[in-house]
Amino acid sequence: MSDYDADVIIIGSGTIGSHVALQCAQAGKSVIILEAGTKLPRWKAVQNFHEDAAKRNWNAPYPRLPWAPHSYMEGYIEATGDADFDYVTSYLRVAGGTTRHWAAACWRLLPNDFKLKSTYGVGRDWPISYDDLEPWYVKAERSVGVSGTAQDDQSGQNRGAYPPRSQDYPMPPEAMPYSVQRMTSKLTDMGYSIAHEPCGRASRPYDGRPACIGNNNCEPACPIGAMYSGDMTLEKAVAAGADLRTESVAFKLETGEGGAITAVHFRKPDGSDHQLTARRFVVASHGLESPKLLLMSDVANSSDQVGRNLMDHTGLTFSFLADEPLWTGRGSVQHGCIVNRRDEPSRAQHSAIRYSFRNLVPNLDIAPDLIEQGLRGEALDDAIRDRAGRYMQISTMSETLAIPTNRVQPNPDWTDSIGLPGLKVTYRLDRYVRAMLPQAQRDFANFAQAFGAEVLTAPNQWRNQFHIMGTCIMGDDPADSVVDKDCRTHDHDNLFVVTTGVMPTSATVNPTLTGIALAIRAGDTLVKEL
Amino acid sequence: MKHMRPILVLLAALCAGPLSAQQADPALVAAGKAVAVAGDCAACHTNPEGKGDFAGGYGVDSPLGTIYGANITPSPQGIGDWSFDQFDTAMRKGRAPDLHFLYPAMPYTAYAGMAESDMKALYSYLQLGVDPSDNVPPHTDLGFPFSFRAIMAGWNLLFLNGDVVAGANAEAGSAARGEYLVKTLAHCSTCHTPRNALMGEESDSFLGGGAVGEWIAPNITAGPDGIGDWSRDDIARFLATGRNAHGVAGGEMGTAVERSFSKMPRSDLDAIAAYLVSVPAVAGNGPVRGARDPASIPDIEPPLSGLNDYIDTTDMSGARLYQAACATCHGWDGMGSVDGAHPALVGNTAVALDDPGNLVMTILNGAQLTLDPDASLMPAFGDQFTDAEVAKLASYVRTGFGAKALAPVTQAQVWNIRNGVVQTGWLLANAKALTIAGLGLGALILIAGLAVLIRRRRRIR
Amino acid sequence: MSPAHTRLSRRQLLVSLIAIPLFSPRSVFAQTAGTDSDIARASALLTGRSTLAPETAMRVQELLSAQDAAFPSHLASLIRALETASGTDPQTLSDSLSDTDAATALAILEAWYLGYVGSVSTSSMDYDGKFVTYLQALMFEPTGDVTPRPAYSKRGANYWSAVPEGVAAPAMADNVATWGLAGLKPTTSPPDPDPAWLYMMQGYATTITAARAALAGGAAPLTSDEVNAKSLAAAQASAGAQTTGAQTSDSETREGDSK
Ligand SMILES: Cc1cc2nc3c(=O)[nH]c(=O)nc-3n(C[C@H](O)[C@H](O)[C@H](O)COP(=O)(O)OP(=O)(O)OC[C@H]3O[C@@H](n4cnc5c(N)ncnc54)[C@H](O)[C@@H]3O)c2cc1C
Ligand code: SF4
Repeated sequence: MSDYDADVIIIGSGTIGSHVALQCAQAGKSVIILEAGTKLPRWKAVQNFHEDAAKRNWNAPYPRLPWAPHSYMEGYIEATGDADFDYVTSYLRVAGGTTRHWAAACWRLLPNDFKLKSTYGVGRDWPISYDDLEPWYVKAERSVGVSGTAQDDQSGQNRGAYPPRSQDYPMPPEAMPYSVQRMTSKLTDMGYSIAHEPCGRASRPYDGRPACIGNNNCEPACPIGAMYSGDMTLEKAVAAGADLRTESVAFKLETGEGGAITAVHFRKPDGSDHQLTARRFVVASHGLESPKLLLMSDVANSSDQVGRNLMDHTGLTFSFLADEPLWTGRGSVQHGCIVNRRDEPSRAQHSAIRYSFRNLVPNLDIAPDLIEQGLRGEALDDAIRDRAGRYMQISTMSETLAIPTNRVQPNPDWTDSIGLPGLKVTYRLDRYVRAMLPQAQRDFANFAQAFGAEVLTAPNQWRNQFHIMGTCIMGDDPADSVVDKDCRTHDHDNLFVVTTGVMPTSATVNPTLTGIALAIRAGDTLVKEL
Repeated sequence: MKHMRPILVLLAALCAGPLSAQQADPALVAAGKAVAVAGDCAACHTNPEGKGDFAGGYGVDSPLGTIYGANITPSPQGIGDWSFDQFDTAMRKGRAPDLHFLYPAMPYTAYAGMAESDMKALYSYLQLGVDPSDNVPPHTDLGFPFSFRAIMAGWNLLFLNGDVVAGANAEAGSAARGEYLVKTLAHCSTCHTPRNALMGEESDSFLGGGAVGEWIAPNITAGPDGIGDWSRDDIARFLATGRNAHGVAGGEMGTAVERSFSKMPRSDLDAIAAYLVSVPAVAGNGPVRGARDPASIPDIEPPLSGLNDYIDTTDMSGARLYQAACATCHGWDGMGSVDGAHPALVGNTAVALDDPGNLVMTILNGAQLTLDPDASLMPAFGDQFTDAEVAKLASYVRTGFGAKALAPVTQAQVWNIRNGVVQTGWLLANAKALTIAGLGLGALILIAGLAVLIRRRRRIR
Repeated sequence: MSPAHTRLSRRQLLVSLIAIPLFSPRSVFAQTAGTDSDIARASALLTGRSTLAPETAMRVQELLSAQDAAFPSHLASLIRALETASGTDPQTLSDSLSDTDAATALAILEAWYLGYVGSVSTSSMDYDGKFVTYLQALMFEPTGDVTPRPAYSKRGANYWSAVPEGVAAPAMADNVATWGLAGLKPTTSPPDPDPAWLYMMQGYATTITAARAALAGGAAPLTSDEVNAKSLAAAQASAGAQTTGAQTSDSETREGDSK
């Protein structure tokens, strides 16, 4: 014991790392959490939101740290890719991590998402099945506090209550907003299957959190903490005895005899270097920063897959004015979605798709145009009201495949204030993704017709959904994957990587609940071993 | 009760026991259960490890040490061997069958006024309607001189008034029934009546406002400093749900609502309301009224230099802290939500009390009544704010939404409240020395203080 | 008083909503100090609101002056034009302005409606936009009775399932608002789309009238193969070339939201 600074060192205090930290600390293990960013109380993020000009910039309310840049800091991410698509991604460097400004959609994958290759002949299979992960999903849903209904068909394939669950959600779903009632009313008739979006928002008081009251500000900061965010688990981990060290940027994992990791080196904002030793190391630094750390350290990469297979849910957004008032913006930022295309045979040819209804207060989307058009006074106010009432936005979550050439690497040509590299991303949309375009256009045409739409933005511009997968890919074969089914690196017995980046398939749903379930599962392994 | 055992089996078992068959009337047991709810017995006699509502072991912090609730289930470890008379003596005189004195953390001075019929019902219920538990609660040891329980005899002489209060069987919903409840089972005056120098209740300031630990129990008389502007319905609703347009029940009152008032029949709440609106007005210990000094929008929104800092929080004014943390629910202007979902702070009692205890406690711990699963709650901000920030915030809330005249809250006050340091005064601090010096009276006064200085050990989350 | 539960006309409502913030003692005091500044008068005339906080108006002026040193002289010209024009209707007043004055008016109006000056970005920290006000940002006022100013919900949990104020809801199934299998689920598969709507989705028309007219004139939506070919070609287009559907910088500032 005294030979080590801790039983386990966790690098990254986001929701995924904090879950492992909490488990280990509760089991009485000594835990150190290294966090690049600073602490920031929730109310301070809310105040920053209030007082910044860029209300739709989800990173803006969070610290801008020259020694731990986040994804929107100038020059930090250099992306190359297709001519018709700018790779933009978003994540934070702050205690608690990126879920400080997420939207809290908390989905489980479908059983077929774990065996894409064997079912549809594309992509990869996971080394574990849905059934293997199911009990861990249950734990993750309890910890996060997810509202949802077990009595729904999330596959859209007439499978009854699906996917199968051993336990109901910890909270019932919130009420359905009027706009979603209208969507459901009209689109169900056309043949579309609308499902509740399970979410980490309290629908009633839960775990000291109040019920969501529809502040419509989940992104970038839920002002009342109704929405789960990683700092909540982090606080519990610290209360259970984990030692949180903020402003500590890990930049190197040191390998010793027999390939074991012996120490982590980290740098403070003043440029000073420090190191710590432990029995086990857990990299939990987000889907892009985790592979960067592994690559900088030259560890875990005998397969040459670290940083490769980068996936997002790169998709399309359609915004329009309906021929009737729908009033999006009442409730949280999203409630329901269309699931028909999540698991159809066409997955053999092109991306599966999920259509998600956005529910932001749309005034900022429509007012600038109206002002520019020259409307003034009462005419302007009336037009704002009319258009805000009829505004609707639907976007796709499109499945992408693990392609080794889509990758993230450290970028030595750009360095931050303490001399650490930026990120270089190469990301192209392959035929599999692009071939969903005709399908999406057909569906969007039906939605448009149902609501007599006037187009504001046609769905022909690709954009990311900020879900990072594949970059530390999981598999049975050490030759083509980075971690095994327990999130342990093939190359180093005492090094684990927990991030959505381990996911070998992207499916059509937000990945974080899956990442948390995998992390709790890995935490269980760790606790048993230590 | 989770499960009532078949009375017959029990009767057989108890034939030789303290409760005779004639007394074992199911209706009486049910009535006794209602008495136990109204008296909030479970508040102190519960078991924190889930061994049963009346198995004892719940710790109540007092400035003198922790007092543990006794086991009052019908087991030999509890009150299973007690006869009715022994029970009655404990309830009314604060003396257990072995003649040891109870600490007045147990409000026997109030229970002394209970009607004979209620006492019998309660006894039946505790003997027949409750599962026996052999739990042995931790020993209460307050240290010398307070461990010497006989000093209670002297105190009882001074403060124990054994008269039965009339009205137990008055018409449902009547003020007479309300008076009975207020003065006995609900023991309102234990907290809401101020204490004199000898720690006795000041009878001419009945319900004029007192203190429990860090919490203030406001003036609830029917005058301008009390709840004179509450309608009967406001009062009944507050007791039933823990909130109304004037405020939200926090601290001990929240617990009392949750465990006791909300489970009482509506007619009893109406009765309490009917009585309270007739309680003679007492001045003082109520919300301070007068001009307010709220910030305007240009005050709240940052100066031209823009956001000073995305991380540093030291320069924030109270008004801006309020905007960041509270305004989303209570309104930028403190007026609450338009549909009443979140209380207004303007006109809220806790905000305008001279003593900032209730306000600060609420900021630190939130308001987490879970009576209505669909109702919202206020999250705790204790982890989110430093003491200095709470002080600034509370000061702004007081002057902005309470009254300009209210004094600012200091960082030291917040620290004391956060850390459970109650301003106990010279007497208590010097109890040991005084007693050793033979000043027994000092000890008497202090022991009396137990009734008012107790603080729940664990917040209910 | 709940706006939702009163029967004020919307105009009255707006006026009352605007008025609330400013009747706090301090700003009434400040108002007397600054309502007759040029910027305060111009703001009032352009927005048709007499209750805008003068301190905030000064902030608009300082921020716009920092952006453009000529702003004070532009403002002087604007206020002359506004005050010599007849009437007080903001629309009529604005329509009478010269191009230069109209540009100045636009800058002031944007500051008040959007709550910031300059440009903002949804995907980079490199923006020069400066905060003016959030609680007074006028764009939220016309909808204040139905939707919140984000982060300031005025109501409690689940209020959103009700029919919004002022909406006559079409008839819907009883179980429409029920999530899950007990709610509405489809019994058919989605149909093939109408060609005119498909044409719109491909970005060739924004209204159905225009789309129908185009189809009548011989245009047709692309086939799936054509869509795919076009998409692959766009991926390859040389950097810097204008690609299909490229975002204008304007729309970029407004849509950036992802989950
Ligand atoms: C706007 C937005 C909305 C989203 N909405 C959803 C949603 O609705 N549902 C969903 O499932 N997902 C959503 N996501 C994705 C989700 O936020 C991420 O999947 C999730 O945060 C990943 O958790 P993590 O713990 O792996 O990483 P993070 O939460 O990013 O935490 C990683 C932590 O590691 C720290 N760190 C990084 N590098 C180092 C280093 N070198 N040394 C020390 N510490 C380091 C970081 O500072 C950070 O605190 C959203 C993302 C964005 C940007
Ligand atoms: S809608 Fe509001 S209250 Fe609900 S989770 Fe989002 S920000 Fe929080």
